[in-house]
Amino acid sequence: MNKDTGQTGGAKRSTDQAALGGKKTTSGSKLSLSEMDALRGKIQGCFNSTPGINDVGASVVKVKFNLNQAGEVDGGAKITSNGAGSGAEVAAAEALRRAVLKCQPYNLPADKFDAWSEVEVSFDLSKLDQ
Amino acid sequence: MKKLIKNIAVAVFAFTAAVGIVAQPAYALVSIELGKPNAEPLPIAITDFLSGELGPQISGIVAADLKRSGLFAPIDKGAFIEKITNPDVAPRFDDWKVINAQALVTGKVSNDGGKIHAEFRLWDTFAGEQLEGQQFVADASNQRRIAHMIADAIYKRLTGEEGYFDTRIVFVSESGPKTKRIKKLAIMDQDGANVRALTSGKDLVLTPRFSPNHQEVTYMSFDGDVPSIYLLQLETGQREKVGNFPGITIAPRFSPDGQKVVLSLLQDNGSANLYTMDLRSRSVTRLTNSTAIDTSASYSPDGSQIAFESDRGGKQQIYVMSAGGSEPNRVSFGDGSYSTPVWSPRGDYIAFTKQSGGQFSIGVMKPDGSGERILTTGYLMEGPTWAPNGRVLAFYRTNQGGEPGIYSIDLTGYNEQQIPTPGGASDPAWSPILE
Repeated sequence: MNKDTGQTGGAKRSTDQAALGGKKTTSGSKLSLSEMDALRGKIQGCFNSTPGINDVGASVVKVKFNLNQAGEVDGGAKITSNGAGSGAEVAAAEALRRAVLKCQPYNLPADKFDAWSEVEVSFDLSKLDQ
Repeated sequence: MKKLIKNIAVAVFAFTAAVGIVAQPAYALVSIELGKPNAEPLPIAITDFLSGELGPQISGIVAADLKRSGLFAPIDKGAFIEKITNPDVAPRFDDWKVINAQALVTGKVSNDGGKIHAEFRLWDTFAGEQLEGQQFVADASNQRRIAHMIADAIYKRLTGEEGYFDTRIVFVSESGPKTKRIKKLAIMDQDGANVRALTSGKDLVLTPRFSPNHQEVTYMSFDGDVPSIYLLQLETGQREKVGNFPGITIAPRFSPDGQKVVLSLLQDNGSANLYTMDLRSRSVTRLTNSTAIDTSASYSPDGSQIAFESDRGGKQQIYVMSAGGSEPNRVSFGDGSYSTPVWSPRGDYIAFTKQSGGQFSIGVMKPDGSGERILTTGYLMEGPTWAPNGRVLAFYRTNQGGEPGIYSIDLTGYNEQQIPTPGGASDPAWSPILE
């Protein structure tokens, strides 16, 4: 059921991030597009959700978390947006959080730790209709 | 049905193991946008509720409800590592994560002088927190309803949609040879339990439909040779004929406010037109005036429109008009014929029966006719009805040479399952959520 729309959208997003570079990184390192794709692909593989398909519109849910150098979620994953807070949006945000926590640890290049120590994943619920 | 069961507490406790994000130096933030999630059933561990025999019976019904929905995959209890001995304390989340239980249900039940007290907790094992905790009290005779209400609460919390387990289905129970068929009106829980007959079988019955207040059923019955429409009070068994029409009336259905019944009146010239009857004043209003057969009317949930089938264009198609009967517009344009339109309780789809290429199908379309989607196809199937959450439908299917049976299917077209009935069963009508 994983449509490649996510890959396309995500790749575009990762390009933007890479182009921007780490504006607050201590070393200026950044993840390559393939490294970003691998990280996204791993979380995507764990993202399993059956939220309501009832009028969720273009709502976006987000989860933010820190990683330690072993690639483990450090301090929990926090839902930073559950859209307008409807039951379907909350359920989708919690499914996103479960995906992040279930998929750890993440295998990322140790020499670029500064570039991946803080991650935010998002999902646009309008994709459920696609 | 009286309010025998009362939800007396919501979100009793909140055990939260998760804490906020640890403050760190300001590094770069990696932003990732995910695509559509997998639609696999959610692995869920449903432990035996404490205590005695009643606890596991309740939790077993909860597990069966969730499994039948197709959205959840209850994990085999043999895989459980932790034995829950006190459902009031947080479980060992690691023991549940290792068996891939993404959600966990614990609970306890007691029987106190004929009253059942049941409570459950729903845990997110990976986040390490309680998502839901509720208590229910009911007469002992309603223990299955308690289980269905718990399953509804879990379904709603994990999907964001209303549940549909604490509901009933009224249907036509069929038995006997085709030349001497006995058709009784019957009712059962949505999972096929608690079947009971509502009529004796002396008169043939067809097309039962629930009222919005789920206390009444309207249906068609052959009283002698003449079919008429009746109202049946479920609690008292009292039966009443609807109106005194000069002809044969068929295909009744309630308006969303329960104040009116829309029906089709067959006329001597072979045509049939739609009428409404106000159940209080008994006043009758004619809605259509055609020489065709207009029948199977179904209101939109806001009561402003009516979908119906008509052969006014040559063969049966679905039309939508205002509730007053004006501006009928044909909305079905695919190959074959379309019949039995039923508006979703959400208002977003109209379900229908389609005949094409020698086969029957159950499908859905948007109210303007766009987005037609066939959910299932077979030798003979008909009569879709919506669960109150608008996500699941029931219909009846007859396989070649077999007895008719009632099936449920998800709006997506997945998870078609037969609902067990004692014999042949047709013409299902799903109730609203019980109170």
